[in-house]
Amino acid sequence: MAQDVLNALTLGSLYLLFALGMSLAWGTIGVLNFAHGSIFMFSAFGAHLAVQAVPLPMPAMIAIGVGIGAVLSLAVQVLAFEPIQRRAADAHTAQLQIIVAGIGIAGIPLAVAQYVTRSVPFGYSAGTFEVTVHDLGPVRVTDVQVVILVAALGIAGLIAWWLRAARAGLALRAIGVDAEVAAMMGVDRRRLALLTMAVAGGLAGLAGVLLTYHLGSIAPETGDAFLLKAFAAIILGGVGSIAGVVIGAMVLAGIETLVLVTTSGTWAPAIAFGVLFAMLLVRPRGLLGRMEVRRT
Amino acid sequence: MRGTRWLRAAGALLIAIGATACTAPGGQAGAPAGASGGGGGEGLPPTIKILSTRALTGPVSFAGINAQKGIDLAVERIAQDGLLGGSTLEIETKDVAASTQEAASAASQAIADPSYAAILGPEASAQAAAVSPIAQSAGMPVVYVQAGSEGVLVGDYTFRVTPPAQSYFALVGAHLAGKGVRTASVLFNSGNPTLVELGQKAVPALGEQHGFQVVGSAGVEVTAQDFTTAASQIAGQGPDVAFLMLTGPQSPVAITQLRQAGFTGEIVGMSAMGAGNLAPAGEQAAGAIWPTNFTATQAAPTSQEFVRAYQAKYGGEMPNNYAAEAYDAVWFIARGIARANSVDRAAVQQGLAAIAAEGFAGAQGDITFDGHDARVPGVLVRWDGAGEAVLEDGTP
Amino acid sequence: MTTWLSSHAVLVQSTLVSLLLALSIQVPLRAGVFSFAGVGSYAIGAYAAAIMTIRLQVAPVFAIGVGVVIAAVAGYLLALLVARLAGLYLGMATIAFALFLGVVAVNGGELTGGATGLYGAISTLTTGHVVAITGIVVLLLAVSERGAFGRRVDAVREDPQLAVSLGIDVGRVRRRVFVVSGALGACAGGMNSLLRTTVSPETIGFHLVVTALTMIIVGGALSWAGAAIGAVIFTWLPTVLQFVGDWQPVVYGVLVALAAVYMPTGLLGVAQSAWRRARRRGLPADEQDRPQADDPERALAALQEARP
Repeated sequence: MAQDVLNALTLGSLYLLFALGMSLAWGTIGVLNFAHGSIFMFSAFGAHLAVQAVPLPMPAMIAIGVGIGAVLSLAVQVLAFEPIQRRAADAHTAQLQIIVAGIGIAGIPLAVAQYVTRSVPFGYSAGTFEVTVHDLGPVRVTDVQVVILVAALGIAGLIAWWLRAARAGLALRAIGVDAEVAAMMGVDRRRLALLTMAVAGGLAGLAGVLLTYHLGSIAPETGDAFLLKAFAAIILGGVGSIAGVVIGAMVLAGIETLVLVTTSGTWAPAIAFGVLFAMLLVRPRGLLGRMEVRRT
Repeated sequence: MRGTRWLRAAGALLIAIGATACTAPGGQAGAPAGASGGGGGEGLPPTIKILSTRALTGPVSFAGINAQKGIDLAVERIAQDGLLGGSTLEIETKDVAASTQEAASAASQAIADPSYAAILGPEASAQAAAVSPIAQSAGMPVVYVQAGSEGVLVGDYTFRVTPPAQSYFALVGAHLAGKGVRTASVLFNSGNPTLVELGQKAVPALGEQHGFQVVGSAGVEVTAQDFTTAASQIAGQGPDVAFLMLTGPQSPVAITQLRQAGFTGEIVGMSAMGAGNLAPAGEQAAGAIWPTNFTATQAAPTSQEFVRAYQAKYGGEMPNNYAAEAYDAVWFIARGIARANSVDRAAVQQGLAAIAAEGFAGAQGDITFDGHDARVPGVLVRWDGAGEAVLEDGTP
Repeated sequence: MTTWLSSHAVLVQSTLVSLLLALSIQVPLRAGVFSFAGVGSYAIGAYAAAIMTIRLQVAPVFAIGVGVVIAAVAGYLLALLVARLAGLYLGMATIAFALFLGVVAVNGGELTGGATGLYGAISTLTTGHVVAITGIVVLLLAVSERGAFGRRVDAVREDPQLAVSLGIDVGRVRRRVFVVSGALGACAGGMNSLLRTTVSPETIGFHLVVTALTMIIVGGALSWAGAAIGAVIFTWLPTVLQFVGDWQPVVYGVLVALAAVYMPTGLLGVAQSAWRRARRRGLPADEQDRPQADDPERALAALQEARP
């Protein structure tokens, strides 16, 4: 039972790391990046290629993953999302076109990874880091799990504080409320947007590398599965709220683990979809969200 | 001018269709090159064409690419052997990994082109089940590798050279009974028909026969990589053996997580654990055993012949079961055509049926057929941390 | 020609099925409803047709018809459920609905064949039937795109609040659009099941969403003709691109991304603007910049183009 709780917390932390970046970008600059899952997977893949060439320790691998994620995310923002926002008739159309472009772009890193790996999962066994398991009686904890939990909750807390207290954080939230007025107040929208996307990408990369260490290996297709769960977590918690993402991710992971433990597990994938659908029907704002829903 | 928008759109559509129609290859307007012998068929034409629909990209590409190596080797060896007289076996390969439509489309095109004598079908069961009715109703012989689910062998014209896992699974039952195993847990991939059947039916049946009880059974998603919950559960149940009916890529991950969760019992898998798929888990997976239809160190003389030829062609690389099956499939087709002494499809079907009734010795050992479905003795294999080794050979 | 047709029958069938699938998403999109319920309806239609044919051996018309009816009803109920949602949230709710059906299919036991799916759904459906059905559907849609109904739908898409103030029942338009989308998707799915004689959970996943979106975005989202262009291109592209081989998915992704960024109105939109520009060049200089007053549709389009 305690072991299951620990597993659920770990899973929730991974969802959280993945969804944090998405929620941040979505809630502030209105960019819902469908390529986030691909970036997450490709960062982990890039780290894999690096470690095949040179045996690296975990901190270096994390740095590589974060770096690749940030760069990819920035590239997508500059090459695709910014042009769309410039050319679109209104914010609504822009959002939809960004989603579609994201879906298209997501296929590219996926195809490259599938081609190189022949769809065989890749891991970091060539690196210097060895997973150690600590037997604490009722539960068994690996050091990777500890890193994941600390990183996820720590970073979530950091971002929540930054959004509330730092000038740049406030500026970002201002953009989320009303971009035009924020611009008139002297907020450099472009710079903050780039910063947000880079941070989102970096978080995705971090999540990717940590997930790979935790599971031992991941497949090129893993990114897409995470994407849908991230949606469910964000909608559940509410767009634009960091605390909401934390709650959403943990609740989702909790329900999934519960179903896995008590039934034969074949309905587990449907949970994310069911939660998503139910929340959208009942309370599209989410538990703690603040964004409005159109009336017509 | 209201109608112009309509007309413009229609015009654009027609141009698009016209353009693609002109560029799409394979328009067989000309007469066939006399390659189809008539009636009962006397003699073979200089070139015998076979269509091979393989998964060379995508999730099953590991099987397809290795199968391709087996196919290429077989074509060479058949030419050396002279089985088809002076005729050359020409195998045209199409990558149909993208979708079932691709596979069905490629098959239809080959059927409409009289110069094709047979088809080497796709690995994916879903694709195979779509190709079979087309081939059967059009009277085109099709031989499958992998494609293990139901609905693939639908009639006289469909054959399969990969034996279903259930047919040699008993090997592991006897082995476990010998070790005094009493309890078992099963973890199976709930999206793959073969694995579902193995997990939900074959293993419990094995248990009944060989005296162990299944105390827990859980299904995981098709592409799942996270087995931590299931692993904790199994470790908690503490059975003597854990059956992992998963795909190749999932196996090392599941084993690692299972060991990390504290499970110390036996681990049994199926053929997907072979072909080096456990390498990512390395030493941690040492001791895992599985029954399979082919391993490179199995004793049968024809297997060893295949292994030697494969190593000679591919620079010392050890072949896996996908290559072995495809090798046998090509030889099967060649023998069928040689027996029929014709490339007329009905005659080829008769030839194949005759060879199937007799059986033949191939890379997988002595192959017999139950109807149109292959059977081999099978072999029980063990992973020692770096490679696989024969534990028990099924050949009597 | 007939040899070409018989050897490419599967591709022709695929094109038509893809067209209907794309239409099931394009029709709502045209009314401003970002709904992917068409993909879920595809799943309903596909399994219904297969189950009816395998278990009850009914004629293809009934097998597909049952699926269409079920999906249309489901579409109506869904429309009621998601009445308050719009834009992205609606899109996600409908994707969740579609993917949820996929999991139901895997867990459907004997009825849906579970992970294996169903096979052996052999029927008397021919390519000719498919062409006829698709032709009728396209004709109906083309007619609905013009005239008063078409303009009402345009208004609902462009400015729902204005539409409400003009007396258009936006809710009813939305519900109708969901029903039509359901019927189209189920028709596509049913036809595909009977043509391929199999259906499995693999055939009804998220990739359908990607495929349909790709066709609409590249072809053009505002008209059935755009969906048609997209369907033709993407069904025949693998054949044309065979030299690209392993890199096909990359090429696809790049195409979709480029189209979404630089050609939001799709190829159809590009073709139409080019045509319009070419026609205007034929007019005297002072009339070239004025929007054409005799055609309200073109006036609207011209105004859209003029927006920054």
